[in-house]
Amino acid sequence: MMKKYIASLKELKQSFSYKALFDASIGAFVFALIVMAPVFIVLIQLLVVFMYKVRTFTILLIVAALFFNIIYHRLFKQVLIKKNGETKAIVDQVTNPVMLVTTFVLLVLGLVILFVMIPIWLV
Amino acid sequence: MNELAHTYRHAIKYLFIPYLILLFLLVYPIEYYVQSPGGLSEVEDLIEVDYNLDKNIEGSISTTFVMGIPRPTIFMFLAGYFNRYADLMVLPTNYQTYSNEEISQISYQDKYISVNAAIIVAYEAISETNPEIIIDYQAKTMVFGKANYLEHYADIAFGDEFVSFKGDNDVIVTEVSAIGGVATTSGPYEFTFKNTEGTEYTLSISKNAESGVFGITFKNYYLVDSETTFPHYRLTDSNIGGPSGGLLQTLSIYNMLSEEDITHGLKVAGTGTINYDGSIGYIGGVKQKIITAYENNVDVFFIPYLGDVSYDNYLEAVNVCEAYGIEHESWLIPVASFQDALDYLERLGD
Repeated sequence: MMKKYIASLKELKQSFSYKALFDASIGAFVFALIVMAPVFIVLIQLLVVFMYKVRTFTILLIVAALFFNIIYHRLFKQVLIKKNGETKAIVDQVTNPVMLVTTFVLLVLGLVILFVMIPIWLV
Repeated sequence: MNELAHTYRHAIKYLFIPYLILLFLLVYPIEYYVQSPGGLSEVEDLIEVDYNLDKNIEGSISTTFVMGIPRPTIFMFLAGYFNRYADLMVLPTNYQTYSNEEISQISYQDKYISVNAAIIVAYEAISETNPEIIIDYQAKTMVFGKANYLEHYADIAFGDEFVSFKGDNDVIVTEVSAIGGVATTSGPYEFTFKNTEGTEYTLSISKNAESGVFGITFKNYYLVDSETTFPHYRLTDSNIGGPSGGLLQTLSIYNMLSEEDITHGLKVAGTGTINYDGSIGYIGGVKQKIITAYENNVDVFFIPYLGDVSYDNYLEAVNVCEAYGIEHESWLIPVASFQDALDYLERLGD
Protein backbone atom coordinates (compact mmCIF):
# COMPACT_ATOMS: atom_id res chain seq x y z
CA MET A 1 0.00 0.00 0.00
CA MET A 2 2.84 2.33 0.96
CA LYS A 3 4.70 1.44 -2.25
CA LYS A 4 1.61 2.30 -4.29
CA TYR A 5 1.33 5.61 -2.49
CA ILE A 6 4.99 6.49 -3.10
CA ALA A 7 4.61 5.56 -6.78
CA SER A 8 1.57 7.87 -7.05
CA LEU A 9 3.50 10.62 -5.32
CA LYS A 10 6.39 10.27 -7.78
CA GLU A 11 3.95 10.36 -10.67
CA LEU A 12 2.35 13.51 -9.26
CA LYS A 13 5.76 15.15 -8.90
CA GLN A 14 6.41 14.51 -12.58
CA SER A 15 3.17 16.27 -13.55
CA PHE A 16 3.64 19.26 -11.26
CA SER A 17 6.59 21.32 -10.14
CA TYR A 18 7.21 21.96 -6.45
CA LYS A 19 6.23 25.57 -7.06
CA ALA A 20 2.84 24.52 -8.46
CA LEU A 21 2.22 22.19 -5.51
CA PHE A 22 3.24 24.88 -3.03
CA ASP A 23 1.06 27.48 -4.76
CA ALA A 24 -1.92 25.11 -4.75
CA SER A 25 -1.37 24.33 -1.08
CA ILE A 26 -1.12 27.99 -0.02
CA GLY A 27 -4.11 28.98 -2.17
CA ALA A 28 -6.25 26.17 -0.75
CA PHE A 29 -5.23 27.07 2.80
CA VAL A 30 -6.01 30.78 2.35
CA PHE A 31 -9.39 30.13 0.73
CA ALA A 32 -10.34 27.49 3.32
CA LEU A 33 -9.36 29.97 6.03
CA ILE A 34 -11.43 32.76 4.45
CA VAL A 35 -14.44 30.46 4.53
CA MET A 36 -13.91 28.94 7.97
CA ALA A 37 -12.30 31.78 10.02
CA PRO A 38 -15.65 33.52 10.71
CA VAL A 39 -17.13 30.15 11.66
CA PHE A 40 -14.34 29.57 14.18
CA ILE A 41 -14.67 33.09 15.61
CA VAL A 42 -18.46 32.76 15.86
CA LEU A 43 -18.18 29.40 17.65
CA ILE A 44 -15.51 30.67 20.06
CA GLN A 45 -17.57 33.77 20.92
CA LEU A 46 -20.69 31.64 21.39
CA LEU A 47 -18.67 29.31 23.61
CA VAL A 48 -17.64 32.24 25.81
CA VAL A 49 -21.21 33.55 26.14
CA PHE A 50 -22.68 30.04 26.59
CA MET A 51 -19.82 28.69 28.71
CA TYR A 52 -22.17 26.33 30.55
CA LYS A 53 -22.43 24.48 27.24
CA VAL A 54 -18.66 24.40 26.81
CA ARG A 55 -18.49 20.78 25.70
CA THR A 56 -21.21 21.25 23.08
CA PHE A 57 -19.37 24.17 21.51
CA THR A 58 -16.04 22.38 21.73
CA ILE A 59 -17.54 19.50 19.75
CA LEU A 60 -18.83 22.00 17.19
CA LEU A 61 -15.33 23.52 16.99
CA ILE A 62 -13.86 20.07 16.37
CA VAL A 63 -16.41 19.50 13.61
CA ALA A 64 -15.49 22.92 12.15
CA ALA A 65 -11.80 21.96 12.19
CA LEU A 66 -12.62 18.76 10.31
CA PHE A 67 -14.63 20.77 7.77
CA PHE A 68 -11.67 23.10 7.35
CA ASN A 69 -9.48 20.10 6.63
CA ILE A 70 -11.94 18.74 4.06
CA ILE A 71 -12.36 22.13 2.36
CA TYR A 72 -8.60 22.60 2.22
CA HIS A 73 -8.04 19.22 0.58
CA ARG A 74 -10.90 19.65 -1.89
CA LEU A 75 -9.58 23.06 -2.97
CA PHE A 76 -6.05 21.69 -3.20
CA LYS A 77 -7.23 18.89 -5.47
CA GLN A 78 -9.38 21.30 -7.47
CA VAL A 79 -6.40 23.52 -8.28
CA LEU A 80 -4.20 20.59 -9.30
CA ILE A 81 -6.87 18.90 -11.39
CA LYS A 82 -7.71 22.15 -13.12
CA LYS A 83 -4.09 22.52 -14.15
CA ASN A 84 -3.96 19.00 -15.56
CA GLY A 85 -7.32 17.19 -15.83
CA GLU A 86 -5.80 13.81 -16.67
CA THR A 87 -4.18 13.37 -13.28
CA LYS A 88 -7.37 13.32 -11.16
CA ALA A 89 -6.89 9.68 -10.17
CA ILE A 90 -3.27 10.29 -9.16
CA VAL A 91 -4.19 13.42 -7.20
CA ASP A 92 -6.89 11.46 -5.38
CA GLN A 93 -4.47 8.66 -4.59
CA VAL A 94 -1.99 11.12 -3.09
CA THR A 95 -4.28 13.54 -1.24
CA ASN A 96 -6.99 11.22 0.12
CA PRO A 97 -4.67 9.33 2.52
CA VAL A 98 -3.21 12.67 3.69
CA MET A 99 -6.72 13.96 4.30
CA LEU A 100 -7.62 10.86 6.30
CA VAL A 101 -4.46 11.11 8.41
CA THR A 102 -4.92 14.84 9.13
CA THR A 103 -8.60 14.22 9.94
CA PHE A 104 -7.57 11.55 12.40
CA VAL A 105 -4.90 13.81 13.97
CA LEU A 106 -7.40 16.69 14.29
CA LEU A 107 -9.93 14.36 15.85
CA VAL A 108 -7.43 13.09 18.41
CA LEU A 109 -6.33 16.68 19.21
CA GLY A 110 -9.97 17.70 19.61
CA LEU A 111 -10.67 14.83 21.99
CA VAL A 112 -7.57 15.71 24.03
CA ILE A 113 -8.81 19.31 24.30
CA LEU A 114 -12.32 18.12 25.20
CA PHE A 115 -11.42 15.60 27.88
CA VAL A 116 -7.99 16.73 29.14
CA MET A 117 -7.33 20.40 28.44
CA ILE A 118 -10.76 21.84 29.26
CA PRO A 119 -10.90 20.31 32.77
CA ILE A 120 -7.39 21.74 33.35
CA TRP A 121 -8.26 25.20 31.98
CA LEU A 122 -11.43 25.42 34.03
CA VAL A 123 -9.59 25.38 37.37
CA MET B 1 -4.16 30.81 -5.65
CA ASN B 2 -4.99 32.67 -8.89
CA GLU B 3 -6.99 29.67 -10.16
CA LEU B 4 -9.15 29.71 -7.04
CA ALA B 5 -9.60 33.49 -7.18
CA HIS B 6 -10.69 33.15 -10.80
CA THR B 7 -13.04 30.21 -10.16
CA TYR B 8 -14.77 31.93 -7.24
CA ARG B 9 -14.60 35.50 -8.57
CA HIS B 10 -18.40 35.90 -8.55
CA ALA B 11 -18.75 34.68 -4.98
CA ILE B 12 -15.90 36.96 -3.91
CA LYS B 13 -17.49 39.93 -5.70
CA TYR B 14 -20.94 39.50 -4.14
CA LEU B 15 -19.92 38.33 -0.68
CA PHE B 16 -17.07 40.78 -0.05
CA ILE B 17 -19.16 43.52 1.62
CA PRO B 18 -21.32 41.10 3.71
CA TYR B 19 -18.09 39.34 4.74
CA LEU B 20 -16.56 42.62 5.94
CA ILE B 21 -19.75 43.46 7.84
CA LEU B 22 -19.65 40.04 9.51
CA LEU B 23 -16.01 40.53 10.50
CA PHE B 24 -16.85 43.95 11.92
CA LEU B 25 -19.57 42.38 14.10
CA LEU B 26 -17.09 39.77 15.26
CA VAL B 27 -14.22 42.07 16.22
CA TYR B 28 -15.56 45.51 17.17
CA PRO B 29 -15.78 45.89 20.98
CA ILE B 30 -18.52 47.94 22.64
CA GLU B 31 -18.61 49.55 26.10
CA TYR B 32 -20.93 46.97 27.64
CA TYR B 33 -20.61 44.07 30.04
CA VAL B 34 -22.12 40.64 29.50
CA GLN B 35 -22.51 38.26 32.41
CA SER B 36 -23.55 34.70 31.68
CA PRO B 37 -23.46 31.31 33.43
CA GLY B 38 -20.07 29.60 33.61
CA GLY B 39 -19.22 26.34 35.33
CA LEU B 40 -17.99 24.56 38.43
CA SER B 41 -14.35 24.38 39.40
CA GLU B 42 -13.23 21.78 41.94
CA VAL B 43 -11.15 23.39 44.68
CA GLU B 44 -8.95 20.26 44.88
CA ASP B 45 -7.62 21.18 41.43
CA LEU B 46 -6.62 24.63 42.72
CA ILE B 47 -5.18 23.85 46.16
CA GLU B 48 -3.33 20.74 47.24
CA VAL B 49 -2.54 20.24 50.93
CA ASP B 50 0.16 17.78 52.02
CA TYR B 51 -1.92 16.18 54.75
CA ASN B 52 -4.20 13.15 55.09
CA LEU B 53 -2.91 12.06 51.71
CA ASP B 54 -4.44 8.60 52.03
CA LYS B 55 -7.86 10.03 52.88
CA ASN B 56 -10.55 9.16 50.37
CA ILE B 57 -12.84 12.11 49.61
CA GLU B 58 -15.94 10.60 48.05
CA GLY B 59 -17.77 13.79 47.07
CA SER B 60 -16.51 17.06 45.68
CA ILE B 61 -16.41 20.70 46.72
CA SER B 62 -16.51 23.22 43.87
CA THR B 63 -16.61 26.95 43.44
CA THR B 64 -19.03 28.38 40.90
CA PHE B 65 -17.77 30.78 38.29
CA VAL B 66 -19.67 32.96 35.85
CA MET B 67 -18.48 34.49 32.62
CA GLY B 68 -17.96 38.24 32.96
CA ILE B 69 -17.21 39.68 29.54
CA PRO B 70 -16.10 43.33 29.59
CA ARG B 71 -16.30 45.11 26.23
CA PRO B 72 -17.86 42.26 24.22
CA THR B 73 -17.93 42.34 20.44
CA ILE B 74 -21.25 43.26 18.84
CA PHE B 75 -21.80 39.58 18.03
CA MET B 76 -21.16 38.51 21.64
CA PHE B 77 -23.54 41.18 22.83
CA LEU B 78 -26.23 39.87 20.46
CA ALA B 79 -25.51 36.29 21.56
CA GLY B 80 -25.90 37.44 25.16
CA TYR B 81 -29.21 39.06 24.24
CA PHE B 82 -30.52 35.69 23.06
CA ASN B 83 -29.11 33.86 26.09
CA ARG B 84 -32.02 33.89 28.54
CA TYR B 85 -29.65 33.46 31.48
CA ALA B 86 -27.29 36.32 30.57
CA ASP B 87 -27.39 39.88 31.89
CA LEU B 88 -26.37 42.77 29.64
CA MET B 89 -25.32 46.05 31.18
CA VAL B 90 -23.31 49.17 30.48
CA LEU B 91 -19.67 48.66 31.51
CA PRO B 92 -19.54 49.41 35.27
CA THR B 93 -18.08 52.83 36.09
CA ASN B 94 -15.15 51.39 38.03
CA TYR B 95 -14.12 49.34 34.97
CA GLN B 96 -14.42 52.11 32.39
CA THR B 97 -10.90 53.47 32.84
CA TYR B 98 -9.30 50.02 32.83
CA SER B 99 -8.34 47.85 29.88
CA ASN B 100 -9.71 44.31 29.73
CA GLU B 101 -6.29 43.01 30.76
CA GLU B 102 -6.27 45.26 33.85
CA ILE B 103 -9.77 44.10 34.76
CA SER B 104 -8.47 40.51 34.63
CA GLN B 105 -5.50 41.44 36.82
CA ILE B 106 -7.82 42.97 39.44
CA SER B 107 -9.94 39.84 39.33
CA TYR B 108 -6.91 37.59 39.87
CA GLN B 109 -5.75 39.76 42.79
CA ASP B 110 -9.21 39.34 44.31
CA LYS B 111 -8.87 35.59 44.00
CA TYR B 112 -5.34 35.62 45.45
CA ILE B 113 -6.57 37.47 48.55
CA SER B 114 -9.57 35.15 48.78
CA VAL B 115 -7.45 31.98 48.65
CA ASN B 116 -5.15 33.31 51.39
CA ALA B 117 -8.18 34.17 53.53
CA ALA B 118 -9.61 30.69 52.93
CA ILE B 119 -6.36 29.05 54.04
CA ILE B 120 -6.23 31.19 57.18
CA VAL B 121 -9.86 30.51 58.18
CA ALA B 122 -9.69 26.77 57.43
CA TYR B 123 -6.33 26.22 59.19
CA GLU B 124 -7.43 28.24 62.22
CA ALA B 125 -10.70 26.31 62.45
CA ILE B 126 -9.03 22.91 62.29
CA SER B 127 -6.18 23.95 64.61
CA GLU B 128 -8.73 24.27 67.43
CA THR B 129 -9.04 20.48 67.48
CA ASN B 130 -5.69 19.51 65.95
CA PRO B 131 -2.67 21.27 67.52
CA GLU B 132 -0.42 19.85 64.81
CA ILE B 133 -1.85 22.40 62.37
CA ILE B 134 0.08 25.70 62.34
CA ILE B 135 -0.97 28.81 60.48
CA ASP B 136 1.25 31.85 60.14
CA TYR B 137 0.46 34.98 58.18
CA GLN B 138 1.39 38.64 57.80
CA ALA B 139 -0.56 41.80 57.10
CA LYS B 140 0.18 43.28 53.67
CA THR B 141 -1.06 46.16 51.58
CA MET B 142 -1.33 45.90 47.82
CA VAL B 143 -2.09 48.22 44.94
CA PHE B 144 -5.67 47.42 44.02
CA GLY B 145 -6.73 50.38 41.89
CA LYS B 146 -5.18 53.11 39.77
CA ALA B 147 -6.79 56.33 38.59
CA ASN B 148 -6.12 57.24 34.97
CA TYR B 149 -4.38 60.45 36.11
CA LEU B 150 -1.91 58.57 38.35
CA GLU B 151 1.69 59.51 37.61
CA HIS B 152 3.87 56.52 36.61
CA TYR B 153 0.68 54.63 35.81
CA ALA B 154 2.48 52.01 33.73
CA ASP B 155 5.27 51.51 36.30
CA ILE B 156 2.94 50.51 39.13
CA ALA B 157 1.30 47.11 38.70
CA PHE B 158 -1.83 45.76 40.31
CA GLY B 159 -0.84 43.54 43.22
CA ASP B 160 2.44 45.34 43.94
CA GLU B 161 3.03 45.58 47.67
CA PHE B 162 3.12 48.96 49.39
CA VAL B 163 6.35 49.20 51.41
CA SER B 164 6.73 52.79 52.61
CA PHE B 165 5.95 56.45 51.99
CA LYS B 166 8.30 59.38 52.58
CA GLY B 167 6.16 62.33 53.68
CA ASP B 168 6.72 65.89 54.90
CA ASN B 169 10.05 66.47 56.66
CA ASP B 170 11.19 63.06 55.33
CA VAL B 171 8.98 61.22 57.78
CA ILE B 172 8.66 57.61 56.62
CA VAL B 173 5.43 55.75 57.23
CA THR B 174 4.70 52.10 56.47
CA GLU B 175 0.95 52.21 57.06
CA VAL B 176 -1.25 53.47 54.24
CA SER B 177 -3.66 54.98 56.74
CA ALA B 178 -0.85 57.30 57.98
CA ILE B 179 -0.10 58.78 54.56
CA GLY B 180 -2.74 61.51 54.83
CA GLY B 181 -1.17 62.92 57.99
CA VAL B 182 2.30 63.35 56.47
CA ALA B 183 1.34 64.45 52.94
CA THR B 184 -0.07 67.92 53.39
CA THR B 185 1.12 69.43 50.11
CA SER B 186 0.60 68.35 46.51
CA GLY B 187 4.03 66.73 46.50
CA PRO B 188 5.86 65.06 44.88
CA TYR B 189 6.34 62.34 47.51
CA GLU B 190 8.29 59.12 47.36
CA PHE B 191 6.38 55.84 47.35
CA THR B 192 8.26 52.56 47.69
CA PHE B 193 6.66 49.40 46.35
CA LYS B 194 7.69 45.77 45.97
CA ASN B 195 6.71 43.98 42.79
CA THR B 196 5.63 40.36 42.56
CA GLU B 197 9.22 39.28 41.88
CA GLY B 198 10.23 40.78 45.22
CA THR B 199 12.14 43.77 43.81
CA GLU B 200 11.62 47.10 45.56
CA TYR B 201 11.28 50.31 43.55
CA THR B 202 10.69 53.94 44.50
CA LEU B 203 8.67 56.49 42.53
CA SER B 204 8.01 60.21 43.05
CA ILE B 205 4.31 60.86 42.75
CA SER B 206 2.39 64.12 43.04
CA LYS B 207 -1.24 64.58 43.95
CA ASN B 208 -3.60 65.24 41.07
CA ALA B 209 -4.45 68.98 40.94
CA GLU B 210 -8.16 68.39 40.34
CA SER B 211 -8.91 65.55 42.74
CA GLY B 212 -6.26 66.37 45.36
CA VAL B 213 -5.26 62.70 45.71
CA PHE B 214 -2.46 60.51 44.36
CA GLY B 215 -4.82 58.17 42.52
CA ILE B 216 -3.83 54.81 44.02
CA THR B 217 -6.29 52.53 45.78
CA PHE B 218 -4.79 50.14 48.32
CA LYS B 219 -6.20 47.00 49.84
CA ASN B 220 -5.13 45.40 53.13
CA TYR B 221 -4.99 41.63 53.31
CA TYR B 222 -3.24 38.79 55.08
CA LEU B 223 -0.64 36.77 53.23
CA VAL B 224 0.00 33.24 54.49
CA ASP B 225 3.64 32.47 55.27
CA SER B 226 3.93 29.18 53.43
CA GLU B 227 7.35 28.41 54.99
CA THR B 228 6.19 28.36 58.59
CA THR B 229 2.67 27.11 58.00
CA PHE B 230 2.04 23.39 58.51
CA PRO B 231 1.01 21.37 56.59
CA HIS B 232 2.42 22.78 53.38
CA TYR B 233 0.16 23.42 50.44
CA ARG B 234 0.51 24.11 46.72
CA LEU B 235 -1.53 26.46 44.61
CA THR B 236 -2.13 25.78 40.94
CA ASP B 237 -2.28 28.62 38.41
CA SER B 238 -5.86 29.40 37.61
CA ASN B 239 -7.80 30.97 34.77
CA ILE B 240 -10.68 31.93 37.03
CA GLY B 241 -10.60 35.13 39.06
CA GLY B 242 -12.72 36.88 41.65
CA PRO B 243 -13.27 36.49 45.39
CA SER B 244 -16.63 34.68 45.40
CA GLY B 245 -15.14 31.21 45.80
CA GLY B 246 -13.86 32.01 49.32
CA LEU B 247 -16.44 30.00 51.28
CA LEU B 248 -16.07 26.86 49.17
CA GLN B 249 -12.27 27.13 49.15
CA THR B 250 -12.38 27.30 52.96
CA LEU B 251 -14.65 24.24 53.17
CA SER B 252 -12.46 22.26 50.80
CA ILE B 253 -9.21 23.10 52.62
CA TYR B 254 -10.90 22.24 55.93
CA ASN B 255 -11.95 18.92 54.42
CA MET B 256 -8.40 18.17 53.31
CA LEU B 257 -7.18 18.80 56.88
CA SER B 258 -9.91 17.03 58.83
CA GLU B 259 -10.10 13.30 59.51
CA GLU B 260 -13.74 13.09 58.47
CA ASP B 261 -14.98 13.55 54.89
CA ILE B 262 -17.48 16.38 55.23
CA THR B 263 -18.78 15.93 51.67
CA HIS B 264 -20.48 12.60 52.56
CA GLY B 265 -20.23 11.68 48.89
CA LEU B 266 -22.18 14.72 47.74
CA LYS B 267 -21.48 17.21 44.98
CA VAL B 268 -21.13 20.36 47.07
CA ALA B 269 -20.91 23.78 45.41
CA GLY B 270 -21.77 27.33 46.31
CA THR B 271 -20.65 30.90 46.37
CA GLY B 272 -19.75 33.64 48.86
CA THR B 273 -16.66 35.58 49.83
CA ILE B 274 -14.92 34.63 53.08
CA ASN B 275 -13.90 37.15 55.73
CA TYR B 276 -11.10 36.55 58.21
CA ASP B 277 -13.58 36.02 61.05
CA GLY B 278 -15.30 33.24 59.07
CA SER B 279 -18.30 35.31 58.09
CA ILE B 280 -19.48 35.33 54.50
CA GLY B 281 -19.86 38.33 52.22
CA TYR B 282 -22.25 39.11 49.39
CA ILE B 283 -21.46 38.24 45.80
CA GLY B 284 -22.66 39.30 42.36
CA GLY B 285 -24.04 37.28 39.45
CA VAL B 286 -26.52 35.31 41.57
CA LYS B 287 -28.75 34.44 38.61
CA GLN B 288 -25.89 33.05 36.55
CA LYS B 289 -24.48 31.08 39.48
CA ILE B 290 -27.82 29.48 40.29
CA ILE B 291 -28.28 28.46 36.66
CA THR B 292 -24.73 27.08 36.56
CA ALA B 293 -25.36 25.02 39.70
CA TYR B 294 -28.67 23.77 38.34
CA GLU B 295 -27.15 22.81 34.98
CA ASN B 296 -24.41 20.89 36.81
CA ASN B 297 -26.84 18.97 39.07
CA VAL B 298 -25.21 19.89 42.38
CA ASP B 299 -26.53 18.25 45.55
CA VAL B 300 -25.87 21.19 47.87
CA PHE B 301 -25.42 24.85 46.95
CA PHE B 302 -24.40 27.31 49.68
CA ILE B 303 -25.37 30.93 49.18
CA PRO B 304 -24.91 33.97 51.45
CA TYR B 305 -27.92 34.87 53.54
CA LEU B 306 -27.25 37.87 55.74
CA GLY B 307 -30.72 39.20 56.38
CA ASP B 308 -34.16 39.90 55.00
CA VAL B 309 -33.11 42.77 52.77
CA SER B 310 -34.08 43.10 49.12
CA TYR B 311 -30.48 42.75 47.90
CA ASP B 312 -29.78 39.59 49.89
CA ASN B 313 -28.19 36.85 47.77
CA TYR B 314 -30.37 34.02 49.08
CA LEU B 315 -33.62 35.91 48.54
CA GLU B 316 -32.44 36.86 45.05
CA ALA B 317 -31.57 33.21 44.37
CA VAL B 318 -35.04 32.09 45.45
CA ASN B 319 -36.57 34.66 43.11
CA VAL B 320 -34.36 33.39 40.27
CA CYS B 321 -35.41 29.78 40.94
CA GLU B 322 -39.07 30.78 40.92
CA ALA B 323 -38.67 32.83 37.73
CA TYR B 324 -37.08 29.89 35.89
CA GLY B 325 -39.24 27.16 37.42
CA ILE B 326 -36.37 25.58 39.37
CA GLU B 327 -37.16 23.64 42.54
CA HIS B 328 -34.77 24.91 45.22
CA GLU B 329 -35.92 23.54 48.58
CA SER B 330 -33.66 20.51 48.60
CA TRP B 331 -30.35 21.98 47.46
CA LEU B 332 -30.22 25.77 47.96
CA ILE B 333 -28.79 26.31 51.43
CA PRO B 334 -28.56 29.81 52.96
CA VAL B 335 -25.54 30.38 55.20
CA ALA B 336 -24.09 33.40 56.98
CA SER B 337 -20.73 31.96 57.96
CA PHE B 338 -18.24 29.19 57.30
CA GLN B 339 -19.41 27.56 60.53
CA ASP B 340 -23.03 27.51 59.26
CA ALA B 341 -21.94 25.61 56.15
CA LEU B 342 -19.81 23.23 58.20
CA ASP B 343 -22.66 22.58 60.64
CA TYR B 344 -25.01 21.84 57.75
CA LEU B 345 -22.62 19.32 56.21
CA GLU B 346 -21.96 17.69 59.58
CA ARG B 347 -25.71 17.30 60.15
CA LEU B 348 -25.93 15.44 56.85
CA GLY B 349 -23.58 12.83 58.27
CA ASP B 350 -25.70 12.23 61.38
